[in-house]
Order: sequence, then structure tokens, then C-alpha cells
Amino acid sequence: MAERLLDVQHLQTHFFTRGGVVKSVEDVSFYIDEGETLGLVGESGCGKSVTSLSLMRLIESPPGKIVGGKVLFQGDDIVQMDEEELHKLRGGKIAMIFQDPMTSLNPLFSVGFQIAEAVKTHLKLDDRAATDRAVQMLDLVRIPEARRRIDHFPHEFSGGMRQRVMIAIALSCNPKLLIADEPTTALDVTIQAQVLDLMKGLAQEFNTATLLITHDLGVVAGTCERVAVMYAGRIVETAPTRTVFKNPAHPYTQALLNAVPRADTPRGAKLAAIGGQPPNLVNLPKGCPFAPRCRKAQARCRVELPLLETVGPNQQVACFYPY
Amino acid sequence: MKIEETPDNFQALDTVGAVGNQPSTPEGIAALGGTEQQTAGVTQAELDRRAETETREATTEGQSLSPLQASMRRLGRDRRAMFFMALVLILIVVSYVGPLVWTRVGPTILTGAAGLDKSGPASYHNYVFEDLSRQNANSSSLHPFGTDAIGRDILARIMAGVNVSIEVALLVEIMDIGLGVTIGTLAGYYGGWLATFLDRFTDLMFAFPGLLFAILAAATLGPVFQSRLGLPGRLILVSMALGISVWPFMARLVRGQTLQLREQQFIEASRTVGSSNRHIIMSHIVPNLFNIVIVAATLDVVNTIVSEAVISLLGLGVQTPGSSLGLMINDAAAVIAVYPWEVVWPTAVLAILVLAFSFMGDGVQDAFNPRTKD
Repeated sequence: MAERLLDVQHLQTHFFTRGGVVKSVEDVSFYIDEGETLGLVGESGCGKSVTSLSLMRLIESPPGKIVGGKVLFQGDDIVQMDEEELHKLRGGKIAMIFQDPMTSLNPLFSVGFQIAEAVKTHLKLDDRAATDRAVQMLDLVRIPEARRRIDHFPHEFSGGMRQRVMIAIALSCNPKLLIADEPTTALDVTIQAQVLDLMKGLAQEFNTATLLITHDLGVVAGTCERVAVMYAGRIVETAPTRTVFKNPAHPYTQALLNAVPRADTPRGAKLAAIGGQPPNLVNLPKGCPFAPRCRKAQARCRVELPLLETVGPNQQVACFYPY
Repeated sequence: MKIEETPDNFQALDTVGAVGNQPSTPEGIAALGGTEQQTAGVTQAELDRRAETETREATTEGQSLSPLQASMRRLGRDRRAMFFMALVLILIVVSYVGPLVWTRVGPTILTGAAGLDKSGPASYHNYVFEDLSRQNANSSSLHPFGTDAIGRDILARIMAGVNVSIEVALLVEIMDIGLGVTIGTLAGYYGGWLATFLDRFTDLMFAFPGLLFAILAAATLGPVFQSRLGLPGRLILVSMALGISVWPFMARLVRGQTLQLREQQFIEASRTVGSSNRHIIMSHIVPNLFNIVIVAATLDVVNTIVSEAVISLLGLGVQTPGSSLGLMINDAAAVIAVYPWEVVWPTAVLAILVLAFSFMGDGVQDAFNPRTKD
């Protein structure tokens, strides 16, 4: 068993707005072992991105605040860290890549400069060594003619290439954890495959654990070892990828899987959808947040909140009536 | 963890089948439809090559240009802008170097009310020298533009007047950019009370015309500044008054751009690698403001030059014996019916100066903000 790298326990992040307290992350617990890839899945607005930003303490405050829980990274609680420790953590130990490669690079500086900048801060290299490192990283993400390309500007790269440059920046300081927030959503399918493949390969090479945030179950199937499913600020199910796809326990997970269009769906058939809307995060309903949309909901679901419980090998689910 | 046997459900979901390390069974690929086969057929190298050609076509002459270099190149290709920029430069160079030459050119002549004093060009080609034997003189080789009502060389006074216009414009733009960018960036980045203050102050300045404010300031504080700092005191006062009235507009522009920039992912990305706010502002926000600031400042020079002329025209700016295009127009206006040329010269130079800056500003705008070009 690999070392436990990240252990998130009952994380709570709220936003204090004029319209009330938005409970974006209400109770999130999961762990990632060294070198492991965990997929965090959920529909828009369920708190995936807020969770990832909380891990790096990048929640803008005000209005946001981590109001409870622990984020243990190599045994240290990130929630309690001071600015100096955070500075070392960000980029050095935890790196992040984003959804939109078109705006994640500063248009005014060459890509080499932008890779070198990160390297200089965290690895304390001089200009020359930093440039060499930049070339090496571009090579690793398979940008051809890296030596020449480091002097090029972001607008001279295609979307997929820019995302690979982002991966190069993220991995340039040998982080222990890579948070990828929907890294392929803005790319087309062929490039998605390339980028995911590359990310997975490099993560293995660098022994970097990956938290892959996505709403694309296909991406999860292809890259993750374990999956955590989020709904309305809570983890509702977590299990090895295979178990989730083969034997989903939570009705929400089941509904998500049913909603994915399959190549063997008969022509003209209607796509399965989950009726209703996700709950308002300001006024969460009493009981299970998924109950209003759940086909299996019973009276108990509407009054009592189910907590994560182990139902199978490595599988935990927050539901009174799983499967 | 490696997944060996692939359940049906799993395989069909794997829309990026070429990615994972699961073996793609032929049935699996068939279930996914034809498109997947195409993807698998395209190698990484092939995709790179395609992207490479695409970007090469986008760049000019196979050379890599930063956005700033590209803008400069666009500006260089704009003939009209380059013509007017050259004109502006010529006017500036002539107005500063000209007097050095002009005060050395010319014979020794007799001047003074009685026509008995011997003077060289260092005197009579100086913009403050009054030759009372040659009042309202016509154009001659000695005074190409003639002399004014008290016998001062108009060419020398025009050059001195252009100096004033340029200096005021420079001081005002320094204030405009300095205050506007600093406060605009901070207000945009941090928000809070600074943003509120900026909003209210700009509203105030919108309601209260800047020129009127400058006139008021020049009229009330002018004598104080002049007695403390001498003749340049007025010039500094006018510059400050104009600067104070224009910076809120620059600040508002900068704040708008900053608000937009701070939501860009490269700012967020910079935060995730541990950058401080200071670093983000200095190396990500401010450089990205360059374009809009340079355009706004260039176009604002036109207003500043006109405003200074108006204030001097009203007699509230530069005082005699100092020179300013506005002041010259005002002085000559008294004798316009008899000696119209005395008004025409400074007016024409003012017009050329303003038009040159204006056309240059348009060119800069097109080059630095190409999207605003129709």
C-alpha cells in the first residue's frame, strides 16, 4: 500500500454572500495515495472546483471561508498553514491545471519564460538552468523543437499544445499532487485523448498523484483508479473506478451513468436524464440532498441525512437504500 | 490499479478509448462507432505536425513576435500614422533645438525705441526680447513670421510656445498614467473602499468639466504659484489641474480592464504556483494594461494641448513675457483687423500640432487595439 498523500476530512467551505450562506462544500472527505489518480465527478455547481481551490487555500476571502474540516497533506493540515508554508506548497508540492488553455497563459510572455518563472521560484535555479529545465519540460510534453519553441508566445500554440504547456509548468517543480480541474473540457475529443494520455504517463513517471476533476465519465473510466462522486457539496459515493461503473451503489451515480450516451444506444432513443434541478446551496433541503430527484426516495430520506458508510470492498456510499 | 476484464458498461462509456491503458477490444471499438478508429490512426507526431503548420501560417515570416513587437510592426506599416508621428517628432525637435540655432543666426542690427542700441541675434531672436523699433513688423529675413505688437520675434515665440504645449502634455500624461494606473489597478484588483472612492470621484469629475476645474484652479491659485515658483509656477499649476481632472477617466478604464484580467485563468494559475498579489499585479496585470493605457494617453494629449491653449488664451495660464500658443493668439487677437498674420501663425501651428497628435493617436489605437479598427 502506498503512502497516504492527501487526506481530506469533513471539509466545509462556505461563501458568505448577501443572498445568504452558500454551502458550496458541506461535507467532503476523501483521500489520495501517492501516485494514485482519483476522479472527482459531479454535475456543474456541486462544489468540485471549490473543493480543489480549498485544497490549495485559494478560496477568495471574503466572501469564501473554509469553516470546518481538515486537509492533511503529508500529515500537515493545510487549513492551518500560514502564508509562508502555503507559498512553498503551491506550485512546489501541489500544482494545478485548468479548464481553459486559451487563457491560462499570459499572452505577453514567451512560454519558456513562463515555465522558467515557476521553476526559479521553487527550485531556486538560475536563469540558465531554468531555461534548460523549460526546454526539458517542453520536450517531455512532446512539443516538437522545444529549444526553438520556448521563445514562442502563447498565441502561436494550438489549444492542445497550450494545455500541454500548462502540464509542463505544473510538473516542472516535481509536485507530489497535481490537481487537474476539467483539463480536457475545452479541447476536442482527439486532443483530449492526447492530453489525458500524456498527463497520465507523466504523472506515473514523476510519481505524482492526480486529482482529476471532471464531469465526463468517459475520461474517468480511461484514467482514474478510484472515483469520488459529489452532489450538492457532499461526497455521495467513493469506490474503485471499476466498481463504480459495474456496481454503482448510490442512486445518483446510477442516474449519472444512465445519462451517458452510449455508442450502442438505438438510433432515435431518448437520452436518460435526471429530472429536476440540483438543490439551492443556500437552502439545502432537510435530509438527503438528492432525495427530491431520487426515484428510490423514501420518507426517511427526506428527514434524515445519510452519511458515508462502507458497503463493499473499498466502496463507501451515503445512502439509506443503496443499489 | 489495472483493469483486466472490461465490463460492457465500462467499455461503452470509455469515449476516449485510445487513452486509457485498457485493452481496446475490437468489439469495443465497434460499439464506439467509426470515429474512434480515425483517432487511433492519427499519431502524436502527426497531430503535432498539423498544429505546427497551423501556427507557422499564423506567424509572419516564420519569426516569433511578442504582442508588443507585433503592435509596433503594425504601427510601422501604417503610413499615415508614421507620417504624423514624424511630424510630431519634427515639431518637438524644432521647438527645442530651433531656438539654439535661431539665436545664433542673423546680423548685428540697431534696435530699441530710438533705434540706437546694437543687438545681435542672441537678443532679438530671443522670445522675450522687445524691439520697440520693429513693432508689428511684416515678414522679413530678420523676422520670417514678423514681430508682434511689442516687437518680439514671432518665430521664436512659437517655438517657445510649442515647448510649453509639449511640457504640459508630458506632465499631464505622467500624472494621468501614474495616478490612473496605480489607483485603477488597485481598485480593480482589491475593490473595497478604493473602488467606491474612485467611482464617486469620477462621477464628480464627469459632472464638473475638467477644463472648468483647471480654469478655476489657475484663476484662484495662479498668483500664489507664480510668486512662489516664478514663471514656470503657472505651467506646473495648469498641468496639475489638468492632470487631476483627467486621471479618474484613465483609472476607470484601467479598473475595467483589471477586473477583466483578474478573472483570466493565468492569474489564477499564477496564484496556484504561489505568486503574491504584488507579483501578480506587477508582472501579469500591469504589462497587460500597456495597450489600452498607451492608446488612451496618446489620444488624451490632444485634449491637453487644446486645454492648455484655452487656459492661456483666457490669460490664466502662462503669463507674459513667457510664451504659449494660446497666449500668442490672445495677444494678437487685439490687432487681428490690422495684422491678421499675427493670429494665423500660432493658430496654424496649434492646429498642426493637434492634428498630428490626433492622427498619430488613431494610428496607435489601430496598431495596439486592432480589434477596435472597423
